[in-house]
Amino acid sequence: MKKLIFATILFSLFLIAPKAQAATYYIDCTSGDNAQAGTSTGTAWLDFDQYGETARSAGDIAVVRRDGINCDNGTDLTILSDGTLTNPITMESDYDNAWGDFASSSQTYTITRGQKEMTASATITGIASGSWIYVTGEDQRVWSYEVASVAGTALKLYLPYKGGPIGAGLTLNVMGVAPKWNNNRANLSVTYNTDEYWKLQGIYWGSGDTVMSLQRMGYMEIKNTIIAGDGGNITGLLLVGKETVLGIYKTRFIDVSFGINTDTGSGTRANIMADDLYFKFVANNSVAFNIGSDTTVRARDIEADGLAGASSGVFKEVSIGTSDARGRNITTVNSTGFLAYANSITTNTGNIRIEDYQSVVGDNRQFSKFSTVKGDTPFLQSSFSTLRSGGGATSIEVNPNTNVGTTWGVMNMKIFEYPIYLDTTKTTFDVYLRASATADWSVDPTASELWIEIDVLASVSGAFRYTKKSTNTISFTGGTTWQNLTLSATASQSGMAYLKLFYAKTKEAGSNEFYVDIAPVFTQ
Amino acid sequence: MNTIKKIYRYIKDKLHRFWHWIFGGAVLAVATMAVLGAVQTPLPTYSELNWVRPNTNADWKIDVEKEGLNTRYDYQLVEMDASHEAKLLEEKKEYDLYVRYPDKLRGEIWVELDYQGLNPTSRSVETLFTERMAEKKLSVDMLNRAVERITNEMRLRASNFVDRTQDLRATKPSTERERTERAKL
Repeated sequence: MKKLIFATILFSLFLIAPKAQAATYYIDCTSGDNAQAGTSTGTAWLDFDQYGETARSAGDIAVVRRDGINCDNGTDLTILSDGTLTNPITMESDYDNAWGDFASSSQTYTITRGQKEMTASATITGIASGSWIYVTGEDQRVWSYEVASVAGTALKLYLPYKGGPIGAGLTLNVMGVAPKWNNNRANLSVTYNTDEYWKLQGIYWGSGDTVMSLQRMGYMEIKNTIIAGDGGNITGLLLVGKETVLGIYKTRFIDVSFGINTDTGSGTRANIMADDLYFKFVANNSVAFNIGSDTTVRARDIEADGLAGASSGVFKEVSIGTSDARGRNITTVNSTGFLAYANSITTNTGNIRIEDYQSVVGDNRQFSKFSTVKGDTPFLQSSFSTLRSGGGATSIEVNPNTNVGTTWGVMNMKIFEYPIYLDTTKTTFDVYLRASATADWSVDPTASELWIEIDVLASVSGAFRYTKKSTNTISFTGGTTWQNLTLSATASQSGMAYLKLFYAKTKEAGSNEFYVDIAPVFTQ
Repeated sequence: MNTIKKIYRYIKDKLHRFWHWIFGGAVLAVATMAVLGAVQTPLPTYSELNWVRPNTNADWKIDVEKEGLNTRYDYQLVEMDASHEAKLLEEKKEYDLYVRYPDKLRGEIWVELDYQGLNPTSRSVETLFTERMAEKKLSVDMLNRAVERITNEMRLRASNFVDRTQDLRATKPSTERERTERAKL
């Protein structure tokens, strides 16, 4: 009977055991030994080569002890194996206190969301620059932050805090410094070549050459990471070849010239999702996202420090071909360089769209081949000053160039597209526009050069939509009052319709600048 | 006429006495120019795989443990074998293509450098070409080694030359599948 009870208890322990990851290995860059098994903290390996350059099974995880500074063996790291979509191969620093060397802060902290600064209840002890902290109770893999500096009761992070708990009296857990691969930033590189489905977290990667080359990677996720160059012409992450999908979060780039470079002349088709990145540049003409052909970038909360030079940029769209970069809350500090740089403004169909430009809420700007100048010159941007009475809270300032025209459809500038739910009642749409100054115009745009159009459902069943265009014109030469383009349409069934404004007049000698009220008027 | 003869005899005499110096100097000059023309800073050399393929089962038993294969369950070895063989095939195909048509890779490098405004020269292209071929070869060799180790570990187990029960029991199972396999030990 006792044996039965014991077996039952033992069996139950298996049932309630936490669901673990796949095979786990341990790396201690200070006191490990590659001749050991690597399967426990006591038998940890010494360097990353033992893990990365031997055959891995999908789902393997390497836990790297913090504070180690010699995680390389003096040679390049050439990754060998693939994970799978559901079982990536992971290399991460210690988040679970495997070696028992974490600590709790002696002080409590006042924390404000969105700020880098935290204030301690007393002079800070036990935390130094490079430490990683997280608020007690938070998921440390998601909400840990690297400490930039400590002075008295002031603690400063590299990235703004976005975790849950805020306010006073909060306790921090303290983890050690990120383990370092190539701390001396020698000419070593990490190469992933067709090695798919990897995750890297919490590690410092240094180099005096390209830090990490991702070639035809499939999926790669990088989080809580430091990418360090030596201040020369260094690329942090080089995406080469086709179809690399990169997710990169809460990562700091220092002393590189190109943070993430997808422009290699051989076509890339990369897909980049970025959130919470900090770039610290020292070299002239540095670029955070150097965007090659057919590359998609979605980035949020990006800060670039130290941009300078005539061809610098947070987003630099460089290549012939279609690229699409969108950013939200993008900021440059200590910089004389550009935030958005549309390099090939005569030849390609790429776009850079920024919301909350320089962290100003509602300041939205768009750059492309329609921009008049390559650096930081939007062809569309939010205006807070030229507003129609009774209209929207902002207007759109339009600054076209000579690439706008009617010869080709791609030369038509689409200024906005609004999805609108319409019923079957006849609806009239009015969009209001005005010139910046009459002196900017010699000839008014015709109805074929400035129009609104609506795509409405065309029949009682099916999703076919027909397009109706406005036919009236605006007189920009006649004055600067708000005037409207007007259009009426009736949908055959209720559903989504799409209201668009197009401009296709080639720029004259004058600037041809005008404003559009963002709030169309609908009348039924 | 006598004067001319005297001058002639004088020169001939000097040449006769010092011809070996003149000849040696000329040879030295030519050799120096040839050497100076031929010497350039050598192209850098790159890592090569430092692996001696085992010949005996006993040596294989030790070698496969360097890949950590002694702590893998049978089903993991099968999966790893498949994935690494597929990868090796891909890498070899690309490497063989560049070996057969090296100018294809040189052309790609030239385009890259030119595209980035780095003014490609034959030397910079050649340096990168050598580097890329070495990287590719290393990758192929490492994959080849991995595949050989995996297949030999499977062979050693199938022939009962090795019994990994102890090694597997020493590892902590992390997934349901691993727990199932461990229970069978």
